[in-house]
Amino acid sequence: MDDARISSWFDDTKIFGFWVYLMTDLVIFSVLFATFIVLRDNTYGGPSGRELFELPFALAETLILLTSSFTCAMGTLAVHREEKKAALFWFLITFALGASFLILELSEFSTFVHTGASWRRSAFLSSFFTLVGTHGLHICIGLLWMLVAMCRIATRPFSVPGVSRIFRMALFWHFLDLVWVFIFTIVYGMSFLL
Amino acid sequence: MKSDTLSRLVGLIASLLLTGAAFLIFFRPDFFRLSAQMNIAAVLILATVQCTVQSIFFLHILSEKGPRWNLVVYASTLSIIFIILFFSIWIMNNLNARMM
Repeated sequence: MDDARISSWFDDTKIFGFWVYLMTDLVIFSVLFATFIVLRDNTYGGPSGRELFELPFALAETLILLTSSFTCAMGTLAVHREEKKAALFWFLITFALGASFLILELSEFSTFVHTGASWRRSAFLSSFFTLVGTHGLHICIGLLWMLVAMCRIATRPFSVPGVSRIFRMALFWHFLDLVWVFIFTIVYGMSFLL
Repeated sequence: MKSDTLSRLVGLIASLLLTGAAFLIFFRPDFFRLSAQMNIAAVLILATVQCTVQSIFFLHILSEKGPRWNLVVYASTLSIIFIILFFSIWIMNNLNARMM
């Protein structure tokens, strides 16, 4: 925390610009959350969240994404210290965790669709697929970005703009974990409390 | 272990504990002997605390020196989000109740 270099991130106007983008993205997610909360009871005779969601599955997804956020932070630290191998190691773990999260989410979606609970079934399911699907799309983009970042770390020496780019990627990844905290609480968990 | 590694480890462990507490309530709503509404309030508070923990330990929102532009943008976005969420839910629930 008291690392002087971290506070120097904030002097980078590109990181500030990216931060502003993340905040506008947060507004998009909050609109989707509002839509979901308003429509969660409108099941139109279809399955409700309580019937559809499986808590152990959501817990597994949560733990995977949480761990990946930590390994991503460790990767950023390794980039700070200009340790290429350590950075690649941590980002590779982050990528594997992120990919397994995405696979879990897609298998969940396909199970829902095959049991007749697709986005066309009810307003509840439309809002569910839009919210969680938008998060999944972000994860997809984050994984692609991480792949590019790993290739650049492996093939090029560290440069100031290159490191700044890696930090922006890490910010994006932490941000996605932050959004997921509210998805597992409001979408998955609260279906079992309401 | 260096202090910056330690701070991220603290963030991870705190997040894991908060996630564990939330899922304990989801799996067994009667575990803490709270009413249904108190359970919902509890998990929302846990999510907010976890959001704060991750913002501090992973996004480093408090490590900024000088004018805290990132923090200012963050805070103003949170107020916009509050307006969107609170008033959408309030207005739509009101409409729902009137349609009954």
